[in-house]
Parts: sequence; C-alpha cells; structure tokens
Amino acid sequence: MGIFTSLGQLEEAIPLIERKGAKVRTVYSPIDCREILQKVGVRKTSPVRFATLLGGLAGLSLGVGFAIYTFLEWKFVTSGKPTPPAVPLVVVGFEMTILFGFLSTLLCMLFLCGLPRLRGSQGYDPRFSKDRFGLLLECDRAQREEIEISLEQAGAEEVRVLRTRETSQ
Amino acid sequence: MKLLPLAGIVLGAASFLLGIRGEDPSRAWGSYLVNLVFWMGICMGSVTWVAIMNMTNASWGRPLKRLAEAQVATMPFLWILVALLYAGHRSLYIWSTHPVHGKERWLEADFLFGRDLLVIGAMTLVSYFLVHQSVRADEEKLLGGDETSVRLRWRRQILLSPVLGILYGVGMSVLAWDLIMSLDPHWVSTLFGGYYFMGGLYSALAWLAVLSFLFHRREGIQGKIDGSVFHDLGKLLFAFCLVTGDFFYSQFLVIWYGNIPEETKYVILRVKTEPWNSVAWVVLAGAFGIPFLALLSRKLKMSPPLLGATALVVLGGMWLERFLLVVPSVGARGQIPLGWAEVGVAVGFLSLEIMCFRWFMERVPWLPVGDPLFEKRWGSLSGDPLEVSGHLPGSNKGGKVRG
Amino acid sequence: MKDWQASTPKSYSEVQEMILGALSPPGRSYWGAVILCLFGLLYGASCWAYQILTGMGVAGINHPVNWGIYLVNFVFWVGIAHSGTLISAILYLLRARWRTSIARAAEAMTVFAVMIAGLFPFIHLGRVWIFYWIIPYPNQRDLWPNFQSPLVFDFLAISTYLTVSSMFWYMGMLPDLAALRDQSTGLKRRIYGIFSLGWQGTHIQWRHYGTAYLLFAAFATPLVISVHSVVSWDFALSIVPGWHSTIFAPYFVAGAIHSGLAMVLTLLIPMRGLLGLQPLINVGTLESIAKTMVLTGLIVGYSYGVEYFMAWYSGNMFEWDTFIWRAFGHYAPQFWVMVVCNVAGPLLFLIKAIRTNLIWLFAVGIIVNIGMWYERFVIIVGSMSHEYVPHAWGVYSPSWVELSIMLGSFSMFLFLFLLFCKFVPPVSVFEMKEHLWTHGKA
Repeated sequence: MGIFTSLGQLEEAIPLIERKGAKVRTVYSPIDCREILQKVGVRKTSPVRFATLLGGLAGLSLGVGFAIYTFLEWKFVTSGKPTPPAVPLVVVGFEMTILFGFLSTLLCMLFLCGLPRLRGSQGYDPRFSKDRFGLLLECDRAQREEIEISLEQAGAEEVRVLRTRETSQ
Repeated sequence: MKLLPLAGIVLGAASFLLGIRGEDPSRAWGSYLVNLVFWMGICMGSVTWVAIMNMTNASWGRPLKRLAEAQVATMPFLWILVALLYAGHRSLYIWSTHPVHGKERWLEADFLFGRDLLVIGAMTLVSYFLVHQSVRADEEKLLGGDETSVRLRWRRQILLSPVLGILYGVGMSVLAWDLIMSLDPHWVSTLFGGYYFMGGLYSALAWLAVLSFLFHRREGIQGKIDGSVFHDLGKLLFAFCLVTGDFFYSQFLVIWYGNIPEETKYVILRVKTEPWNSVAWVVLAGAFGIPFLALLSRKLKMSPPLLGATALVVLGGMWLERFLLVVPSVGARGQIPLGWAEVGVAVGFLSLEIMCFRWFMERVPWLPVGDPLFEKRWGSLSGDPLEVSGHLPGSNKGGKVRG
Repeated sequence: MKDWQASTPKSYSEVQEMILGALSPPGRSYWGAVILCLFGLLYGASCWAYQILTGMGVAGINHPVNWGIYLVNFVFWVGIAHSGTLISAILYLLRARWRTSIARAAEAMTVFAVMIAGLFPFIHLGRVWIFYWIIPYPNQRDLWPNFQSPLVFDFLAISTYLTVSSMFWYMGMLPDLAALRDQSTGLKRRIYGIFSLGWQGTHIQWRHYGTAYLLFAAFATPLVISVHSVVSWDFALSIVPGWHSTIFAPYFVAGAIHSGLAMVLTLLIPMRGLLGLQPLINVGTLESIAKTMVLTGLIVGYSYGVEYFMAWYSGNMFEWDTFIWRAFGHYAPQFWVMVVCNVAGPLLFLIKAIRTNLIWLFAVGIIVNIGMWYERFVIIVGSMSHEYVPHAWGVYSPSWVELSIMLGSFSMFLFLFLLFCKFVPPVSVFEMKEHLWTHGKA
C-alpha cells in the first residue's frame, strides 16, 4: 500500500509497479479519480446506464399502462374527453419514466459500489477521505522490497505492508 | 459551381412569379411566407446563439462562432423579402380584406408591416454591430494589432449580446403574432411567440450542426471542431428538441383540455382533419420523435456525419412545422399544396442563404482568434490573416458549400 | 456581514477544515434561533390541528375564492424548490463552475421546500384523513383516481420530485459524510458511518458514482421543468379567465427559478458570513446568481406583457376585464407590488456595483421573494374572485389561521435549514477539492 499526496504521483507510480510484476487492487481517493481508470484497466463509463434505460422504459410502460387500465376499468368520462385520453397520459408517462429511471439508476449504482458496506476493510486509512490517495497493490513476497523502492521513487509519502489476510475487498 | 446558388434563386423567383400569376396566388404567397418565417428563425436564431454563448462564457463553442455569425449576411435580404410580402397581404391575410372588429387598427397592413420591418431592421442592425466587432477583433489580432483594441471589441460584444437576446425574444414574438398567428385572427395562444422563437433557436442550432459537419475538415477551421464539440452540440440540440417539444405540448394540452371552440378550431384543422393530419404526424416524428431517440446515443452525437444527418431531419421537420402553421389557414383547399412550385420557392430561399453565407465566409477569418474565450482554450494563432484563416485568394474558399 | 480577508484554501485539508469546521458546536444564538423557529413551527402545527378539529370555516376560503393562500404557499414553495435543482443539476450539466460552492445548500433548500410544499395540499384538503383517496389502489367501490386530472398529475409529480431531489441530495453527500465519519469519534462516528453507507472512495466506487451522478442530473433537469409545468397546469387547464393561457408552463418555470434564486441569495448571504465560508462562496458566485435573475426577471416581465397583450388582442371581454381588474381592482396594491418587485427589482442587477454588493443582493433577494409570493396571490386569488358572472364576484382575505399556518411553514423551513447548516456539510467538500485539482494546485 502506497500513500500519496497527489493523484498525479499515484498515476505515475502505477506503470512503475506494474513493470515489477505487482497488480493494482484498489485506488483510494477523496476526489473523483476517473481519469486514472484507464491506467488501472477499467472502463471509464459504467454499466449503470443500462439500469437507467431499463428503469425508464419500465416506468413508462407501467405508468401509462396502469393509467390506461384504470380508464378502461372504470369509464369516468369528464368534459366529453375520450377514455382513455392520449394527451394527458404523456404527463403521467413522463413522470413515471423519471421516477423509475432514477430509482433503478440509484439501486444499480449502490449495488455496483458495494454499498451499504457493513464491514470496513483494513486497507483503508481515514486520511483517504481527506487529502491522501492510496494505492493498494498485490505482489509476491519476493518483490516486496523492489516494489517499496519503486513506490518511494514515485513520491509515496508512506508505504505500508499489509499481509494478505488483513486486506478484504 | 459558383453560379449554382444564383441559379437556385432565379428558379425560386420564377416559381414564385408563376404562382402568383396563376389561378391561386395565395398558394404561392403561402409558400413564400413559410420559407420566410423558417429562414428568419434560422438567421436571427444563429446570431442570437452567438449572443447566448457570449453571455454564458461558453468556451466549447468558440470554433463555431463564425459559422453561426455568417447568417447575418442574409438578414438584409430577409428584410427586403418581408417588405415585398406587403404586396401579398390581401391574398394571405383575411383581416386585410375583412377587418376584424376590435383589432382594426392593430391588424392593419401599414401599421403591421411598419412595425415588423422596424423589428427586423433593429435585429439586423444589432446583429451587424455584434458580428462586425467580432470579425474586426479577429482581423486586428491576426495582424498583430493593439491588444486594448481587441479587448474593447470584446467588451462591446458583451454589451451588445443581451441587447440582441432581448430584441430576439420580443421581436420574434411580434413577428410570430403578426405574420403567422394573424392568419387566423380570432385564434390566440399566449405562448405562440415563445414557441416561434424557441423553434427558431432549435432550427438555427440544427443548421449550425449541418454547417459544422460540412466545414469541420476545412483548412480554415484547423480541426478545432472535433468530436467533443460535436458531442456538446448534440447535447444542446437534444435539450432544444425537448424544449421545443415541451412548448408545443404546453399549447396543445391547454387547448385540448379547455376545449374552447375559438382555440380548438386552429388545432383541430391541423391535427384532426384531412389532409393536414398526416403532415402533423410527420412533423411530430421529424422535428421531435426521431431527433429525440437519435440524440440519446453518445456515439451518434460524436459522429459528424450522423449528427449532421439528424440535424437535417430536424430542419426538414421544422420546415414542415412552419408549413403546417401557415398553409392550412391560407385559402381553402382539399389537397396538401406541396408540389414543384413549392419546391422551387424553397430551393430559391435555400440558395439565397447559401449565397449570402458564401459571400460572408469568403471575407472573414474562420476562427475567432480575437475572442478571449477562444484564446484561453486554444492559445493564440498569429500570422497572415489570409493564410491562417484558410482563405487564400483564388483558392477553393467557400466554393463547395453544398458538398 | 463584512467580507473577510480570509484566504482561499489551497490544499485539500484546508478545504475540508474550512467546510467541516463550520459544523463545530454552535453557540447560544444558534440554539436560540432554532428554538424560535421550533416555536413558530409548533404554533403553525397547532393552528392546523385547530383547523382539523373545527373545520375549514376557520380559513377565509369561501365562494367564489375556493383556493386561498394555502395554494399560494403551495405554488410558492414548489417554485423555491426548483432553483436548487437548477443549480445542482442543470448547471452541472452545463459545466458552470460557479455552481460548486452553492450546490449543496441549494439542494438542501430544494428538499425542505418540497417537503413544505407537499404539506399544503393536505392542509388545504380539510379532511386530511381521506388524503389516501388520491392514491390509486383497488378498493371495494371500484373507483380509480382520474389520471386525466391535473391534481393527479400533481400528486405524481410532487412525489417524484420529493423522492428524486432528496435522493440526489443525499447521494451527493456520500463522500462528505464519509469524510465526517473519518474525522469524528464515538457516537458521531457511528451515525455518520451509517449514513455514509460505508463509502471508501475506491476507484470502482468513483467509477459508478460518477456516471450515476451525471445520470441523476440528467433526470433531475427535465423533472424541474415538468414539475412546475404540472403545477401551472393546475390553473391553465381550467377555463377561468386569467388562468386559461398556454404560456403558463414556461412562465411558471421561469418564475419558480426567479423566486428560488432570490431565496438562495436570502439564505446564502447570511450563511456564508456566519459560517465563515466567504472564500468558497465568493462574490463572483453571488454575482452569477444575480445575472441569472436578470434573465428570469425578464422572462417573467415578458410573460406579464404577453398576457396583457393577448387579453386585449383576443377580444375576449372576460379575459380583458379580469386583467383590467387585476391592475385596478380590489387587489391592485398586490398587483403593483408584484410587478415592481419582480421586474424592476432584478433590473437593478444590471448595475455591476449593485450586484456585487452584499447588502443590495440580500435586499433584492427579499424584494423578489415578496414579489413572487404576491404574484401567486394575484394569479390564484385575483382570478377566482373575478370570473365570468358579475353576481359571482367576491373578495377573499386570509384568516388568522391561514396566516399562522403560513408563518409555521416559514419557521419550519428556517428550522430545517438551520439544522442542515450545522449537521451536514453546507458546501460540497469533495467537489471543492476537485476544483483545486483541476486548477492544478494538487
């Protein structure tokens, strides 16, 4: 685990340690760090978008479908308007699309982020939410010294060694 | 190639003159009016977009500035065309032959055309000043001119932008009420002015997208209109698709719900009766439905040809929309008046715009180098203005505008 | 409220300390203010209880004005809510930098305003215990709510808005709640720990969070427009003169943003001073709000003008008479307050000296709030008291019960906002840090 004071330094450290054969497990950051996702081998955009689309479509069909059902069930004719009326149902459909799309995005995001997280991981340092960036990596015992040196070369403020059993993700 | 737009204009004029000499002059005047209001929206809207982007400090859109400003060249011609419209007011407007009680003095040809020409004139003048400052700033910058002068020109643009914005909102509303809404003088919609000027901004944005597609690889642009600019343009187009659709729906829902005959008459004619109802569905799909679905896709927005194609669909849809607003109220007929004469007039107006656009772009630097927002993002370009801006005398300047 | 010479924070820890430092244990004056607001809230609530027990007769509403200041307040509070979402969602999509320091407080304003707005239909309902009839559920009478009615649209729209804006606000806070958890001890740590859901700021979490936040903003934006359009259609879908007008939807949305921005100024200027956040919420940000208010004020002014013009142009004598009466009839004072405050007030912001002066900003904010409240009053009460049939014209005055409940609503808003300021980070910590990062200081 290397602790850095800037994301730029952490970013530079990644190729260094990867060359020595270590693998990046997690990057901890107090700010949005999506710029470095590519370096860690993860795509920048997230699959929550699919939840959004599905949720939105579900909301639209549920909302409009349910409203139409109620009109057909009980023909309550007001002002001579047709039952079911197409024009006002646009509003119903719109609101339900937004509601369901939003909720499904929310739930999908929470699920993918692993929240709510009941147990803390011991790799986590409370300073990571304030002003420090953490690079948690995995390597063999043999390379440990080399990796430590690489991290310090890249500008790590602190290097910590954690045994495999202690980290959980 | 260079003479093609001129030929187009001649074709348009000929189709129009044939039409008014024919058995139904109001049909020709109708198509004249449709194209006039469509292009007024695009031209006034384009320069208003420049004003909006100035006021909001939008740096993403700086490379598009000159392409948007180019529409100022067409404005004086639009003024002339509105003045010529006066000759047709008896064929078009029922209130000129049968004055409407209570509105006699408001809907009276001289007063109406007088105020409309005043409004268009004001918009043209302010647009001209705005663009003039912008172009001069770039020319001065390229010639290594005085920094304070360039900055002063920017300040003037900042001062003129809100003036144009207000003029656009109020002016286009007046034009909408006078030229379009008065076609049915008993019909009223308080949002009509707003609907017209939002639709104008929407069409202008689509036109800008088409121009960006056509020009983004040209030397003068130096590759500054890249994927991210198209993406932002696509997002803005999507937003305005929603806004224009929302304005349409606001009117439609209120009129549908209230069911008051004075109001519903206008809408029912266009949406429920033959032959206009099919046009209404095409408009809904073309101006709102297809662009909405297409512009949801990120890949589409970032691809210049696909965005350009979607923008063309928008333009087609909005043209038909203006057609649907105007033509059903112009004379009584059972068939949709969309024949070769109408195509000719439309081609004529399009050619006029192309001709003016080309005239303008041949004379100005294509990148707004004197604009501080451009400079902040892309650094300064200096050198011979003609070389940097990509229009060397005698070269293929704006020649192949239509590909 | 002098502008201190406090320096702009230059590092992440400075940003965090400045913002989270605002949450330090408050002094007596704070608690005094909270207790005062609590009393106001309880007073309003007890008046509502009195109304439930005694009946709607204690309110001033009667024929012909069936919608009184309960609905004026409803529309007012929904309107205020919209600016918060504009600032946090719409300006996020437009990548406007000045949004960052005020987004959190503005969203808080939204959530509280929607909660209060949602109370007013219940208060206005009278027989509160049958509110559930508007929920579509199978019942033994085989009845369903009429999905064609704008009141049902309202129910759907307001509940959607409440859900979406509170979740949007809460999700935006997750990383900051984690920061609070990490620097607290004991019970505070446990509570913030629960609310932060165990957020750790891993790259996987940031990946999904970042995309989701953009999507949240993309949903909240059309929601803003649609919710206030739906509220406007409560009126426009009728055929009451002065209400039946197609411009209502954009007019109300612009008016909502106008009043909301004024409320943002009213809340944020004292807040930044009292919490020491001046370097973060600087005068430039407030100036941007002021400039936006010029735009919304012009739109509102345009709408007033267009409505008057069309009332004359339409030749509809009922419409025209209603508008003349609005300007010169029984509610003329309220009308002129409305016009002057809403249109002339923000035009003062065209002068740079005024829009960069804190006192003027605060004053115009108050003026516009008053003006916008009166606008809703003039539209709702003014139209209902002067409809088609002269024999049915009548005048309305709010009773002491209605005014007390209104006072209770303002107290509740202030109460909730005061609590917000001290228990939740009033400025988004991680977004301000990102500001530093993209400005190359990290």
